[in-house]
Amino acid sequence: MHADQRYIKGLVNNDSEVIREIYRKYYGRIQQLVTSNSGNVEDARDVFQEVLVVLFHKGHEGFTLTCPFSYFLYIACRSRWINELKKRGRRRVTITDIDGLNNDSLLTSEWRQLYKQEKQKQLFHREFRKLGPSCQELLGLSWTENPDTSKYNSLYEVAQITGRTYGYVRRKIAECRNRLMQLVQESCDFNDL
Amino acid sequence: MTEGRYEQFEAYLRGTLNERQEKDLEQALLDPEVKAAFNTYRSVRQVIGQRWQRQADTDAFIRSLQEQNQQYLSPKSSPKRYLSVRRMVLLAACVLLVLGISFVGVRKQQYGDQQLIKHYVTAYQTGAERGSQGLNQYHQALMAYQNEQWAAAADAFANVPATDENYAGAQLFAGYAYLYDGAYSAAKKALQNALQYGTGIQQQNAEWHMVLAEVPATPAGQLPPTLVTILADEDHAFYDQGKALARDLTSIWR
Repeated sequence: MHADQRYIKGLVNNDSEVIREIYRKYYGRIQQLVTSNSGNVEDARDVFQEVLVVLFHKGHEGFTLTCPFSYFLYIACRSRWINELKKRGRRRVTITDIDGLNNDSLLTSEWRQLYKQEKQKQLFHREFRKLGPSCQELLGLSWTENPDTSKYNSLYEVAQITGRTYGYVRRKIAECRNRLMQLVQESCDFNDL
Repeated sequence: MTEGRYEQFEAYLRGTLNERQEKDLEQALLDPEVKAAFNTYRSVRQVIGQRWQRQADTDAFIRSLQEQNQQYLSPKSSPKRYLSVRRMVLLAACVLLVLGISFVGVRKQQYGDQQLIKHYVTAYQTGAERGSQGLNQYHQALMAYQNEQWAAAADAFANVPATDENYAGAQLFAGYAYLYDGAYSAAKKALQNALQYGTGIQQQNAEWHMVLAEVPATPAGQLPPTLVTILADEDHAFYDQGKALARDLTSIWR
């Protein structure tokens, strides 16, 4: 584990000091990277934030840093920005790197793997958010492990938590589950994963 | 996929199927389509469960990032930063000071001894320009002079024997070369010879350059003795130049 794992830990814990430090130390070079390669400040902000959100989630899932955080962050933002440029219709994308920093195929590959997983999760979550609040609550509670028992909440427990009848919860959950799976499979991005 | 199949997947993942039901499902999972649907369902369920659990944390995290965005990053249309009046005055004063120092430096350099001497050297238009006659026979000395190799030129001219008919002209040129080279004592000696053995305009020219050779040793605010002599003679060929030099020597920029 690299000493810079503290940054990942800071993101996971939403540590404002660490987040501030990350912005102070590393945002500048990402802005330089993006603005030197057909992007603007807004693009740089979006890329930076998106990568940090991915790292936040990955950190929760036990992601371990094996290189300096600054380097990984640069490679991640670089890769993300290349994808964005391609999405915007650039057939050939050539990136001008910042002095002393450039592409690293291994790290890029590691990041792409992470990002692919995250993209899939984002898709699931995006479709989930299309459901009504009641569906979200019931499915969320039903698929969440109870921290005390380390078991999934039973339908009885969900009914108890939400103050609804067992019958309603059972029927509604089945309905919401089918709807969600239908949304996921009909999603344009699903087949690209 | 049918509603019942998802129900079956859910029960399997919760571990609530009995042995027979489990075997039935495992049999069904041999079908790639069912297997793919099961994998997707399991992933969706896992992601939603995890994200639901930390939804509040995620929202708080994104809020933190947005706060940093506002605090550390330039806004969409960054407001122009205007300098305060005090800073502008200070900046202008600094610029003026730098310009002033540069100007004084340049002027001081222009009024330095060596610059003045170079400016006022007025080579006697004879020997060197006479083509095949006169000093042209001292080809090496002239070449060195023309190539501004002052020390070599001065030595070559100074070595012209006193018996040579162009001795006075050679001494004069030796004087010019010594002046350019900054060898003022040697220049005085050569110019003294030119003054002694030269004729008419050669002597006045030698006298004028003697003035220049005297400049470095003249105390500030005073005029070289030979210049005082020239300024006393309005008919001197270098009278006007002498007046100009006197002004420069007493200039505040020196």
